Amino acid sequence: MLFNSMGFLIFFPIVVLVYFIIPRRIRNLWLLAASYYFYMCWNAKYALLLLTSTVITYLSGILIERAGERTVYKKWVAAGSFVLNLGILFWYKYVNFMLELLGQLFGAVHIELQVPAFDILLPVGISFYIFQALSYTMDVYRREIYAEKNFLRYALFVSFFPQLVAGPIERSKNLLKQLSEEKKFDYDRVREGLLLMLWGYFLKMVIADRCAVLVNTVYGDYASYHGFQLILANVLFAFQIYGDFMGYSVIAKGAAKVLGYELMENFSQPYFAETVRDFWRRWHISLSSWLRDYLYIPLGGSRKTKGIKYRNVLVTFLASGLWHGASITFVFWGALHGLYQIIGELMEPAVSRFCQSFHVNTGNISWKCLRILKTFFLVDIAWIFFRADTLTAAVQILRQSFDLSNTGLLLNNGLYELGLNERNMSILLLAMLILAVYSVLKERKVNVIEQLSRQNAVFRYAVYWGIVLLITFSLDITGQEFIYFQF
Amino acid sequence: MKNIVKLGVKCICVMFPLLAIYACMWLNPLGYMDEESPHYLWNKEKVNSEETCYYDTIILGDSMANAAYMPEVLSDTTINLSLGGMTPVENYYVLQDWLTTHTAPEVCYISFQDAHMIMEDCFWTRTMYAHRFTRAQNLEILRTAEIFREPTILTDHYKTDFISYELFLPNKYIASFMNSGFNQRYDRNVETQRMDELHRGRYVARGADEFEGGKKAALEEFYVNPLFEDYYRRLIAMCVENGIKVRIVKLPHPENVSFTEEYTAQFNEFYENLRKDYPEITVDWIASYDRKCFVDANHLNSYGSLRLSSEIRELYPEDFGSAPLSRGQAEAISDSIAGVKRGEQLADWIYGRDYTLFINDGSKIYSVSGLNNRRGEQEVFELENGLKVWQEPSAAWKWEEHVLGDFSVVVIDNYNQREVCQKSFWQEKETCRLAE
Repeated sequence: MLFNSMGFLIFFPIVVLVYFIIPRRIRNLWLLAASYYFYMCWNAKYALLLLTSTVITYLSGILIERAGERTVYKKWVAAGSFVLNLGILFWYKYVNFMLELLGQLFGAVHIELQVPAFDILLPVGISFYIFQALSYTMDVYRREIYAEKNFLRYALFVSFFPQLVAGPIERSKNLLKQLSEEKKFDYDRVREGLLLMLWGYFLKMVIADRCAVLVNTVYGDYASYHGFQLILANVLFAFQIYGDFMGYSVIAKGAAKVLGYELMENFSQPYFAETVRDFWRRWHISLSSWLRDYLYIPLGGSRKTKGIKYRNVLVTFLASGLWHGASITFVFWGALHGLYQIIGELMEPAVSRFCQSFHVNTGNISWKCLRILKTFFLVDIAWIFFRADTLTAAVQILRQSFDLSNTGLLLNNGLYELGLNERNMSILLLAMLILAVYSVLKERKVNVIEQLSRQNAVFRYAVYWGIVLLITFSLDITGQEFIYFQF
Repeated sequence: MKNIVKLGVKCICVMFPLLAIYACMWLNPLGYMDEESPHYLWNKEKVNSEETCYYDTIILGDSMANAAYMPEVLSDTTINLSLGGMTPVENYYVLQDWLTTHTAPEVCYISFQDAHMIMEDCFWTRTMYAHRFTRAQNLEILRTAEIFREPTILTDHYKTDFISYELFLPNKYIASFMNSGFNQRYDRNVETQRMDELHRGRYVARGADEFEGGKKAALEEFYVNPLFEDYYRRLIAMCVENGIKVRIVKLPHPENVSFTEEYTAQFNEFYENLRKDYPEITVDWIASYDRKCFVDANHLNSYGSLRLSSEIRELYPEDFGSAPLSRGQAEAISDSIAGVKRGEQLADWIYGRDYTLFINDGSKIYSVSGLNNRRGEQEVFELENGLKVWQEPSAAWKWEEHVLGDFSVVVIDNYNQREVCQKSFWQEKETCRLAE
């Protein structure tokens, strides 16, 4: 079930209404049933996978806690949980990719291998809930939390529908704790949750889906485009994926808030990042913090030699790329981000010397803007590999982007022939402007919704109605799946 | 409880723009719907309203039929109930509704292009969009499509699409609403319906434009999809049960289209099988027409429609009788004459009808009457704009004589005693094109 589908607009109010009407002791059961229904709307059979992962991690949590000081036993149980969960993930997501790679490897040394391809449908959100469940195992193993004894509560933690299929990847320390608390109907909280959902729909439907029209047109026939057409498509893809994924996260956060739960922030104005490392502190925070806590740090993090640190960075980003999808383009995208970080760190002393030599005021806004633009440029280059179907296509798109012989397009309205007409382009620009204002305010630590609620009714409703109108005007081009569902 | 009510009220306030647009969409479809919809809405209104006069001949089919059959040429008791994009599926329900509110006609002409015996291309975007049928009928269509697993109806999200259309939800209508400039299509759509009424269901927007493209093409296969065959048979069965004569006509294609023997054999086989079950039906295949009779690869223009309708009248004179042209029919024909773009076609338009042409070639004024017995009569007409035209008594006008250049024509509709149009033509070899 998509958040931007009619089904969800019927499902959600029913879930909320029933949730607050029924006795408190059966509310979690209701949410669990609703969450499984939400998941089964996509494919009923695959709810078994969700249940399997839940049972494995639930039992492993209890066994690890019971193990007490028996470290080896604990390790075996935790490893078992990891192997089983990652095994499920591997089978459903990576097996065909690995077999294909194997075939290519053997092909490279002239050994013909008949590699079978399995007809496997990738379960929606599998990477999200498996990572969430594994984080619980690790937290119990590290004794950061107690194992959850109540199976219903734990099952709800893994399957909580607002964040089930596209995150944020919640931590047990945050969400599991909240599931044992009593929730009352709180007018202000519900109002804030609904406004967050409205903002999420704006990001998804007005910005992401509108950008998608142009991006799909250009990427669908990239060989026919070059220069400004590809540059525009690449820039808009950066905003498409941002609007799409952040939109989902905000709707998830809002929906959870209506029910009384607080989900973690998944984005923090990523395109205001001044370095790629900074970008990863702001983009998909729940995944990057997961990888930091459960992969980068256990590998040794930055505590050992520089060489080991760079290896750890590279391994972490390769894993991040692979997490996003079973394709060499995602692996390359991850590797590119890892390299950006390593090169960025290696160049830091040189940049400092440059600033000192030329008396560059690094606190200056223009210097900051330059760094933001540089980071956006690097990230956007990497997005090409994320979006393109093959590495060859990505390289061709990149090469053709630098062929700027079609400057005439900027003067003769040629950019309106890429799927978005003048009206839609104007709506997109307006929406981006609104997003920019919102981002600047958020960057200055302003709680936008709270500030808005303090304004007078005329201003407040002008903003609400503007957003509602823009969403309404986007209803005809929306309905696309969220990009991150595939991960 | 108080807080819940407060929240509900605030939600409604926040959503006010959406609700206002939604209300406009629901309450005033003619204000924004696209150009096909007024035809559908006219058809719905006409079919479902009580009988005010008896129609003994009805036309069913798709846009090809709609463009081809000209009720004003066929008879005063003919109505064209076909609609663009419709397949036998929708036509079955049109006839069902018609028979509920009207006396059964004597004859039903049915014509479909081959594509509409294979797939639905407009069920969602026209039939559902314009709310042509009732909810129960739509559900029946969907249920039947589910039985036959018809992919052109059972689209990816057909259940939610069904709800969206049924409830006029903005996701299906906002594009039209915005393209209409926020409800600015009302006058245009009402005018379209006025023309539908004048021409008894035949669209006239296609006009007299002529088809210029078209590579040579040979149709190799005639195939009828099971769902459409099922409805086709049900449609014919309904006609037969109600004592309606069924005339199936395969309409002409432009001359660049040919048919392989295999196609012809399949076509004949299909209709022979049909005639085994319904021996009463007649099946005719009208030969190809010249491209100038078409507006595009499939649809006849007004001149082609005149030609086809005249041929049908000759083919089945018993269906149409010999009643003189009514003033209503003349109004509709006059409307088509006003759009004529070739001078030589005027003679076909007025032939056998009480119209008078006055032709001014710069030196003389000639007259010609559509009725032979009026030719050569000396009359003086005072036209609405005050211009006086004298008809010369001895002028025997022939088109071939006008080889010298520009000439002007005034067309008079004697049924309604009015000037139809004034046109200037430019003589080019054998044709007379409308002067720029």
